[in-house]
Amino acid sequence: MTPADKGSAKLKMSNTKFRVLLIIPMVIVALVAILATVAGNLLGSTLDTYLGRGETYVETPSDKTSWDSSYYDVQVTQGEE
Amino acid sequence: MRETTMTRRQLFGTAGSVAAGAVAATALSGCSGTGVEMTRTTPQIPDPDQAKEAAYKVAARIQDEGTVLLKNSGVLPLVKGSVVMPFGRAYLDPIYGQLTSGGSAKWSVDPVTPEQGLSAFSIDGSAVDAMRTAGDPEALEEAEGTSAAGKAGSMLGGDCRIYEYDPSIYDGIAESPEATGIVFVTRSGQEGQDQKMDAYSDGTPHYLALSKSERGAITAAKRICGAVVVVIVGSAPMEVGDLTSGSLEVDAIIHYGHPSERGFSELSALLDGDVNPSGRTVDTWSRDFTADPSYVSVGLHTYDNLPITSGSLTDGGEFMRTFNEYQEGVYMGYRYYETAALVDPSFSYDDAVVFPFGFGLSYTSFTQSLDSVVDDGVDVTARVTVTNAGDVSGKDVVQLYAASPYTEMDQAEGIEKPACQLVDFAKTDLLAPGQSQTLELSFDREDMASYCYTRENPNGTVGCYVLEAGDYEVSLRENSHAVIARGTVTQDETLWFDGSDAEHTRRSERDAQSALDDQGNPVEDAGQAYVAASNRFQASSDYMRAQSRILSRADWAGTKPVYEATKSIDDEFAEGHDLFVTFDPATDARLGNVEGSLVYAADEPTSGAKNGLVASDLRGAAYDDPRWDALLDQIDWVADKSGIVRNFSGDAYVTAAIDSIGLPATIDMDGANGLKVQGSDNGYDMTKSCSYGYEPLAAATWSKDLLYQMGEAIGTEGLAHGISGWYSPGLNLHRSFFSGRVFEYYSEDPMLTGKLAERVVSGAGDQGMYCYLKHFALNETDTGRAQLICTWADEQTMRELYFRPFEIALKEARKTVRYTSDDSGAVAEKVMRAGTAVMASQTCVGTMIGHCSYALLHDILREEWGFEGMVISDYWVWNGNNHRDLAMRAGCDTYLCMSVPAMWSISDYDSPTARACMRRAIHNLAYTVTNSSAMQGMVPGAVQKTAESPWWGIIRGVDVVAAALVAGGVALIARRTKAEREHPELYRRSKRKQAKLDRKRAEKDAGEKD
Repeated sequence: MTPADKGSAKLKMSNTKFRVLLIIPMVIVALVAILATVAGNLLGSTLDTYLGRGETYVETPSDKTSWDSSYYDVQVTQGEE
Repeated sequence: MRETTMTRRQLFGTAGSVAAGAVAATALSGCSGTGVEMTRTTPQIPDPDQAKEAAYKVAARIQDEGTVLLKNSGVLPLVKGSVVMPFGRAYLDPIYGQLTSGGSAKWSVDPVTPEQGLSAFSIDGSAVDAMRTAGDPEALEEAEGTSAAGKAGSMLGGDCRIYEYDPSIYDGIAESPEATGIVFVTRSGQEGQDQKMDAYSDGTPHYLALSKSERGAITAAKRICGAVVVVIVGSAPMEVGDLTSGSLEVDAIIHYGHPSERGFSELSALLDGDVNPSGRTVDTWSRDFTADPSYVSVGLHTYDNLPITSGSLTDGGEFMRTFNEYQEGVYMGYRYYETAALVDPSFSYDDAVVFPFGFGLSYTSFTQSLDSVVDDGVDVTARVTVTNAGDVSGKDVVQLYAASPYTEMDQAEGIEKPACQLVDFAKTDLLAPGQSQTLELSFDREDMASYCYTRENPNGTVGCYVLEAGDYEVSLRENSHAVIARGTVTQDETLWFDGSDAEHTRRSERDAQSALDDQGNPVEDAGQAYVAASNRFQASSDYMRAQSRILSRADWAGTKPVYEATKSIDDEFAEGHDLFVTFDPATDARLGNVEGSLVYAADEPTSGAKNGLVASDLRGAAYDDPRWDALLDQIDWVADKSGIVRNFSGDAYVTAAIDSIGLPATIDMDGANGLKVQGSDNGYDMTKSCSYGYEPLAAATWSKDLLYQMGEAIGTEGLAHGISGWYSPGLNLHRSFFSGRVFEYYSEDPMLTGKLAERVVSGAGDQGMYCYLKHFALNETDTGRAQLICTWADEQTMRELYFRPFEIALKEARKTVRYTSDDSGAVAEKVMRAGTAVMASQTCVGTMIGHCSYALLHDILREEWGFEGMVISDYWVWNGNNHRDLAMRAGCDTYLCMSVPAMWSISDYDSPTARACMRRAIHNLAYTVTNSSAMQGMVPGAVQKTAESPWWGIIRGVDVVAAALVAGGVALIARRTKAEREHPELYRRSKRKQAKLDRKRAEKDAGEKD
């Protein structure tokens, strides 16, 4: 083995090959992110069903917060004959 | 009302956390536009666990009162602590209800077992040991050339396999006379497939007959034990005639129903007498199910000239349409057997019927006396005194039947009259020995009227109800067959309810079409034009007469139903059969944007108005309150498009919010045997709510009070979990026991079904839940439901049997609604109609699928019955947006399907006609939701909001990581490129690049030499 051969053995990967190897996973990662976002928008209701929906709350006019809004009996009384 | 920021669990429980609002994340324009300062508040809800346990108490009582003691030679009740010896695979592996997790019912996760249920007794495990030693038995195979017993399975995974041990496993067990053998037999219920109607390899004639091995187990039990009790675990009746006499006769038979999660906890009490059985059959248990008149026309029958290209996602492609003809007409169930006994000299009732409809035994005995029958010209009232003549306390059921005269006019007009029909029923309190109770039963005289589909009315319509002149027998009966006493009601003149004036319109129609006062009483308006029932399905009646047959008293033998595997349909009945495939909203003359169509609107309705209203302002308002128009004028068709379209294209288990009118989203859930609550097990958590025994069990209680309590308990659980709508109860009839969904429907009788459903709907309504009465209508089979099965019946049969349960429940159910009645926040109550939701059938009425039938959803439901509320389709995955256009225009206000906006929408969102139809549908939806528990905690002006779903955080995280990785990669490439430029000698090069570099280097070297 000549000294020149030894030197070439230590050379780093060509940049072209490096780019190819890196760009492919980058594109895949980017596609995953885009698809996830698109799917989130298109299948949001289905995902809500299985993964949970955001906090749901009631907003009441501030001057009516003291009003009785318990329209249904929350005391459990069923089952007794 | 507390003023805090709440979590979704606090607001709606866990279910609410996952499905409480469809698209309500953004501010509600209808409210925010008012500029009112808003505060977050927390509605009060019941404790979910308390609600569940209270519901289980109701469920236990339903099991107690719905279990039917069919036979008892005196062996029951058993002595506590006595020895019992269980037999049968079903003891180890009973079917608690729906066979699989697919379908509408809850499944069992940790059920009380029969062994646990027998805790009051000393269990001799000899037979159980033999069964366990034998290992799992093989499923019984179908006979050669018959339908599959299970290999084919159903869309939802059900099957008709029968598992039982070879009875030889019991051969070594010594006789044990002191033991009572208890043989368990079980059958499934399942959505998506009917039961196997033909033979198994051992000669068992069908799924609902005892198999050879089951008979062997009973024989073994008879040899070994001193007495034998057979416990049938299943919703449908079975052929058990051989158990009542002869070599296979047993001492007692119990129909336990499908008990669900905890039903077996009542088994000991029912066997030892702590609970006295008081259930009554809800069907006629005939000796030979294949002799039932419906038998020949259920199952798969195919036209040879009616191809259709299906838009179904799962069953697409072209295929021939199938059909189901209700040839037996009104003579279904006991109506057939009682009439046959009356008109057919060759018919032996005792040979044909094992247990009549309404039959059931008790551990005590009762006497019933008909004290009086009073006819005030409008209502008929019977007073009945029931006395407990036995030694133990118990409850009895009182059944009142009516029989109409069958006349020459009936024969001429094609009117059929069953020998008797249930008109009212009641259940006593728990009566101590010697105690009496007098009950009052009543019915409207017009309930005895028959529908004549041949009458030509003065107003030009065809068909109407008629109460013929003559004597009508009112009978008190132990069951459909055993008469205790009779009375007579006389109709002096024939009364045609042809709608010519108020007198000639049924009271129930006038009431249903009238507004209610605050006490829930109809207020008739002398100026109102009431609509009487008239033919809406002329083609179906014509088809039955021309292409099929209708069983008739006039020619009983000559009109018996016949089997036809295939036939050709005449062109006149096939015309337009594929409208739900070909519908074009732009050009369709009947429901399109064409002047003169049934739904045509020349001008687009007002939209985008700033009237400052939100849906919560209209709680308690009547359906025709003018404020609804003001609210609907606010609809923003652009901003709210996604929610609106979703309601018409994919509203599975929710209804979507419409922000511009402040309409909150709702969660609606399945659950034939209790309310499904969402969780992590296949999308649900069965442990979060009560599982009731299935509907036939509930119906077998014959208890209106208990069914009200069941509805109330389900409503309370819904309130606790933020669920406002329940896809139940199922009101189709047990036309054939081979229907896979017998477990989901109450009974074979429309009156029993309708009255009990009315109570459930009222009870649930009082707790804010709207019940989707399903499947409207003629959905008595699951065979062919995905193949667009054409269902045919004459209109008398439709109206008197299959529409009737819906009619009763929708017209009569009431709920009390609390609402804010003035500007100071005062709360008032009013009684409103509770029937505000309907689910259309998946099968076709004639050739038109239920949710696209204008005749069904508009003419019958809204015009005749005065229905005010929303209609949803059944789950229907279908490509073709035009199908959804048609459904919406026909009166289907929401569409039950998964929401995939990229695939499904409606094709016409913008035309004035489409907007007018959508506005009407939104009105129906908003009216239903506004008067439901969805408004708990919402005073006038309040709105519901939903924050962004938490899973968006995951997607955002993915986006950030991806962006970071891509950016890092770009940076790395740039850095490396720069480094390569500076130190190219350190990098490998491509051959081309190396050659180029070598050339340059050579040129450089050459230059230096020069």
